[in-house]
Formats: sequence, structure tokens, C-alpha cells
Amino acid sequence: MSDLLKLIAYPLSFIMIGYGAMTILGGHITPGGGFQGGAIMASGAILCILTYGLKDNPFNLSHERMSIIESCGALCYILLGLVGLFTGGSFLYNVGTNLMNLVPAGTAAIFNFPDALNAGIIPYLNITIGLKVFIGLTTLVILFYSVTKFQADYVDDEEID
Amino acid sequence: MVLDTIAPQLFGMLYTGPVIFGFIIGFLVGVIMHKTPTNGIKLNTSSWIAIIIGGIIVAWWLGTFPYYEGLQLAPGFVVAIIGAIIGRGLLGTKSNA
Repeated sequence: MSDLLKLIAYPLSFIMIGYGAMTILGGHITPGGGFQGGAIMASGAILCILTYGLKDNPFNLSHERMSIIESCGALCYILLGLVGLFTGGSFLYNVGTNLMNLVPAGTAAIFNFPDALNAGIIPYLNITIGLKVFIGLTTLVILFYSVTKFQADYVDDEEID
Repeated sequence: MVLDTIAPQLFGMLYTGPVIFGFIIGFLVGVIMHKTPTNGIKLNTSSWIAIIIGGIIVAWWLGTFPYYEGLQLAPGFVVAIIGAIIGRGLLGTKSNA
């Protein structure tokens, strides 16, 4: 890739990460949410992968780190669901809003997202899904990128890297 | 006490939810970055400050998103960028390449 792209891709990835995080955090009242925000954040990582290549990529794409982030997302989602199951009687019951008055007010206050609205656990679910999608889409691109490197009819490495 | 009453009128209401969780999201993404990337990427302190200033400008253009009566810039946007930079600085790994 060109030097200009190499100069701008890494700083630009931070802006894309911020935009993705903002999309996730506004998912309960605006268009967007966990999947869309995670995809925007993944596009920052994908931009770096395509620009710098897998070897010199500024992202640490080791299996260990990526599995930790994705597992945190999945685990938090299940834990939020189990909180609703044990306190409200149904999996993923919105403990924060507590529309059916099934949980104590103190528990509802803990799980209510602190903003102007009364969204409960929906923003937390968006955050967990966003982390999962970010890692999932990045992994997908890494796999595609790795596989295409072995194809004989693909363009030269010099053209990509 | 005076600041508590004047500050929301001057700057708008700052909600803690997007600030805290924007930082957490940015931090977690920053953790999977290399602290010392190779291939000619050299960003010094002024580069990071420029990225943050650029983020603040974009956040100002975005306005009060996603809360329509709040601070006049998107706080989750700026805080996520700062979180990514801090996460990369604290827990980022050294590049093997």
C-alpha cells in the first residue's frame, strides 16, 4: 500500500473505534446498536489489516487476546440473562426498567443504564454484542486474508502489502 | 455547589453512562493493540494529542448524539478514543514483527 495510506490508517482507526463505540452507546434510542457499532469498530481493524498486512498490523491479533475479549462479551450477555432469570423469573428480563415490579428497587437501580432514559439492561446487551461482533468480523477478515495468500491465482504479495 | 448549578447551564448535562462505558469499550479495544507497532508507524506524544483534538472536533460536529438534550459534543466518542489510547499504553503488547 502507499505511504500516504500507511500514514493515515492507524490514526484513522482510533476515530473509527470511537465512532463505533458511540453507535453502540446510542443503540437503544437511535438507529444502530451492538452489531452496527461492532462492525464499525471492526472496520478500523480491517483497515489496518489491509494497509499494513497481517504481520505488521498494529493490532495484536493473537488467539489469546481476541478470545478473551469475545468471551467477555458472551459471558456478560449470559450473566445479564441469568440475572433476569433468577430475579424476575425469565431469561433476559429487563431488570433495570422492572416494568412488572418483580425485583427490588435497589437491584433495578444497579442494572439501570445511567443516562437520560430508562433503558435498563438494553445498552449493556448492546455493549456485549458490540464486542463480540468486533472480534467476530475481524477474525473473519483475518481468515479470508490468510486463505487468499495461499491461492496461486491471487495477486502478488507486493501488490497487497 | 455553585459549579453544580452553573455547569449544566453552560455545558449541558453530562451523563455518566456513555462516559464510563465508552471508556470501557475503548479500553478493551486498545488492549488488543501493539504498543510498539512496526512498519514505519511512529506516533509520538504530539501525534496522540492531535488524534484526541481531531476526535473532539468530530465529536463537536456530531453534536449531542445520542442524547438530544446534553453536552454539546458526543462524550462517548471522545472517551472511547481516550480509552483506546490508554488501554494500548497500559496493556498493549510489543510487536514481534
